[in-house]
Amino acid sequence: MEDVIIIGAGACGCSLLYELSRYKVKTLLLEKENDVSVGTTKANSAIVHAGYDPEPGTKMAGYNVYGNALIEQLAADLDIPYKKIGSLVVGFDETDRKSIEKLLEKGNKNGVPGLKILEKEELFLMEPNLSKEAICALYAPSAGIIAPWELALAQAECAVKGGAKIEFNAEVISIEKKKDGFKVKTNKGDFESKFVVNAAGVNSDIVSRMIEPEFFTITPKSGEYFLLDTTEDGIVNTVVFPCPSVLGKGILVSPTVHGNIIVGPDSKISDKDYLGCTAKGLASIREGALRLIPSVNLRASIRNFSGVRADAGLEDFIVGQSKTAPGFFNMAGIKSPGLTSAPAIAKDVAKMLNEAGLEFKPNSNFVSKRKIKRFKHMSDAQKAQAIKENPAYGAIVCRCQTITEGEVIDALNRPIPPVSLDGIKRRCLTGMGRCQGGFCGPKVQSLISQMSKRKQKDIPLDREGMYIIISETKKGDL
Amino acid sequence: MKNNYDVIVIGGGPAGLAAALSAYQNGAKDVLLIERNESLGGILNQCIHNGFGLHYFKEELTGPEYAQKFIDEVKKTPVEILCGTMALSISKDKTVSAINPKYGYMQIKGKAIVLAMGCRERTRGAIGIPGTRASGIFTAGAAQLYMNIEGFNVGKRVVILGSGDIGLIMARRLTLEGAKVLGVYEVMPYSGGLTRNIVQCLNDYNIPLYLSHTITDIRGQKRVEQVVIQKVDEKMIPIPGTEQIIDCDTVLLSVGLIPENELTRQAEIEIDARTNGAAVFENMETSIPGVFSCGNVCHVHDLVDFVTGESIHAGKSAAEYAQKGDAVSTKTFIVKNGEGVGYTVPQKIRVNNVEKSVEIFFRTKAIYKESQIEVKSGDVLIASFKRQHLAPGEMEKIIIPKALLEKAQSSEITVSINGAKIAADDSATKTRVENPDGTVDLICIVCPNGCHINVDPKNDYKVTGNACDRGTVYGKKELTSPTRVITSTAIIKGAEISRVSVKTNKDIPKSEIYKAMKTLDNLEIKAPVKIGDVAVSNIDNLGVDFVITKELDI
Repeated sequence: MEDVIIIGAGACGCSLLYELSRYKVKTLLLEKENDVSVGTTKANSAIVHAGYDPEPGTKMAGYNVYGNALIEQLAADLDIPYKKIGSLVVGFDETDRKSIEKLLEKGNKNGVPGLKILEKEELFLMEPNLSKEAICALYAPSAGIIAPWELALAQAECAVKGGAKIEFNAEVISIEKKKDGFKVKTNKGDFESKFVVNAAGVNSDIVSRMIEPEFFTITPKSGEYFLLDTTEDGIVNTVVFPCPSVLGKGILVSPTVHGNIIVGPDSKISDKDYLGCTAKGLASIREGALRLIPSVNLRASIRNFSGVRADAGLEDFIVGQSKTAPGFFNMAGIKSPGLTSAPAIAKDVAKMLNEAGLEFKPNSNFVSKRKIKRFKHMSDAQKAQAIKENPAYGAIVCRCQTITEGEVIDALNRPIPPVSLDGIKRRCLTGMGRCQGGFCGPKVQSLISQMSKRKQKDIPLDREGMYIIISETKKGDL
Repeated sequence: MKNNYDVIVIGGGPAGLAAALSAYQNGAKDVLLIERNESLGGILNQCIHNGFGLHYFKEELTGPEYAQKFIDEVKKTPVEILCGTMALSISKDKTVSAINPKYGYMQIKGKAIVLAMGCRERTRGAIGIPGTRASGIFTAGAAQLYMNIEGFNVGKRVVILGSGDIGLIMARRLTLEGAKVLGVYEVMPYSGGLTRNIVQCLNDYNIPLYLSHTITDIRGQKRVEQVVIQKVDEKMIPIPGTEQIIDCDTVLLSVGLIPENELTRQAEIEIDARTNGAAVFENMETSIPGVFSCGNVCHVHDLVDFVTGESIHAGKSAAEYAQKGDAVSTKTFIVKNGEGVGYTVPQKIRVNNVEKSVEIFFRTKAIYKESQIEVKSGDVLIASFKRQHLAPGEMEKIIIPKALLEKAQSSEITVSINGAKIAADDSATKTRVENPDGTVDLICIVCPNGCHINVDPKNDYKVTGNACDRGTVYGKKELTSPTRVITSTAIIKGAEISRVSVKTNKDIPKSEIYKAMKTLDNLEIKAPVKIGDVAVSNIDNLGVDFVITKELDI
């Protein structure tokens, strides 16, 4: 019998897992995919929002501003790539100026630090490549960029080291209320717990309906992106947004923590599990980006991708204990700024669990810090030392990103061992560069195979079923 | 292993091997060759097909055989070789920072440096194909690595986008291994690969080539399940209503190559946006004196033979620089592209540094028939060259004697094409035409020239249109008893890699190809092996053997 079962290993679920690992609580996280951060958490704008967008007084406003501050600390403690580069919401006319003034007002009410409106001169000094049509912008110095999948992964790794459990490839089929808790049925067997937390992202409505009457529906909204080569670094210095509209925060142009430029997203209703791009979507992003930064070079694209946002169609997030099923909690409808808010939501839900009777005694095995060796960012002396200590650091696997075999092997030995090429990619960036894994893919696949003692043919690209190779040649079986 | 060398060559593929050898042969005493892979040869190791070396060695070799010839030559010299070594950066004073597991972090200074890092493939992200992120989408070269080196099949029903040579080669390779290649789709109105490859890789196996078509959607949430193909108009915009859905599990991309210039960029060497490689002088020297660039890292070539030639030139220049220092320059020409020309290499010519003549490589932006390549300085025509056929997929070379260059008046020379542009050229899809008079039009595949020949069966298979005698033999044989050399792999035990490349030592009847392939199934060869070792003797009593084409140690 567990104390808490969390459903979903995205930013929210993993933040809560980490938060609960501070205490002597038996926590089990159930994830239907084969790794952490396989859903919305890995495919979004990767922005740590400042908090001027949400309506003052909403949970979202509080979580966003608090989450922004928490992430800065978490990034330092858990060695998550993060940069506080600030954001700009750019206005092109007097209507835009009015919305920007409104955002400033909301931001001030929400407690966002350092907000100010920049006029042309100051604005172009900050972003020389910005469209000359721009007239003003809202500057938010507390906004930042992050490796989004690492936020979940880092917290999950620490939690697992501290004693928490994760069951992968475990899809929840039903939840049953028992006398002293819940029985959660999955395709990998039944699990019981006193409390259940629904952090199932785009599927959080389905999970909720397993135990509660229907009260919200997730409308999956897909957003497509371009990721540009590191050669384009410097085209913008901050996260550059247009003025928000009813559709969302609009098409942004921003640096990423890995030195690329991200451009997007659009927004359209899609299927929950559709991860793809359309000619129309990409064209609209191109148009939006060029309006902001006319010189942005979309021919330097190295990848297009899309993510699905879990939009419950409400102004606010759905966070709290179920009205009809006590002991069942929702972290649902977590659309933007969900990534930023996740650590704050987790703290709040932990508090609610405590108030609902979950006992909090300090966990002496709590792991609050993590350090990752990243060869590329070492000084010459550190590089020399790293190879001396482990010769595998002298063998480059991914030439585009300068990732060594040592880093890949380290990743395979981490608390949550990756099982796919993209699992390695999320942990040490192999295949993130301009060749998109064309050169390193087979090598990474063979390293996973050797370390995990599984056949190379069974190592997928990402989720289970995404097989890469089908059989051996010369065995006469094709 | 020293800290100082006369010449450091970065990259041990065909370009680096030739440059290192040439640097040594031209007087550089201490030469270091750095290669990131565990073995020399670069991409040639996975190019197990034949067709290499016809210009340079006057014989038809497979990739590994071509590489081995240079590896053997280099190994006879005192050139030092560091495999498994990655160059991380180059400083302005020509110090290379590199790492490997054995020596750790190294800083090595060269009097001259030759950049020979090769190129990489354009990916799906670079061309923005809409659709899902399913697995089963490979660049042709990645699939080639999986099949030829690692020994894995990548798919059963394959669609190939782009008619680049690697895609065509892989169409045949996949077919021979048992996959079904459903078609090759090319967005341009002409083929991007060599015509001989269309004949021997597509036509031989009844694989259709569709020009002016592209993939507009990829479907399947996990593995590729379908692609949507659409015809495109002259502006390459998909035409509504032409959608065709094709069930497949694999998509191969053969949509172009990009020079791999990370080190070049980091060293702040001037890059030419047209070639994506370093802008070079007549001796392959970059904007940093003493740093040279050659092969596919400088500009993408079609044939390795030309990579070799260019790299010998660069290696010689590097050796000269190491001995004599900066090239003196009295007059420098900028080479500009005029009408119809996409790029030129070299981009700059120092006239007094030219020995007898200078070779200018370039690609056209469109297809031309019956045209003149004109080299002008200002308004003065200094040279012109006739061509029957020019196409973007075929690199062109002109040689300008020094005496003509000295005539030039302005500081620029322009290369342009004077001729009629052809909007589309579907001749590649009509490689065998049976004429009403009983004759047959063919494309000779004996060499990359791809002569359009006419064969008359009623007149003892008389061949016309051929540029050499081999065409006469080919034309008759093709209509009477067509034969091919087959290249493939076999399982090897005890070597670093799991497959070794093989070929038939003579051509075999086309009808016997699949039977011959079967003899390789479940065959196990034990390392070590040498080129020419017999893998299967007297295949199906044809009097032909499968022989090893790659040297592999234990």
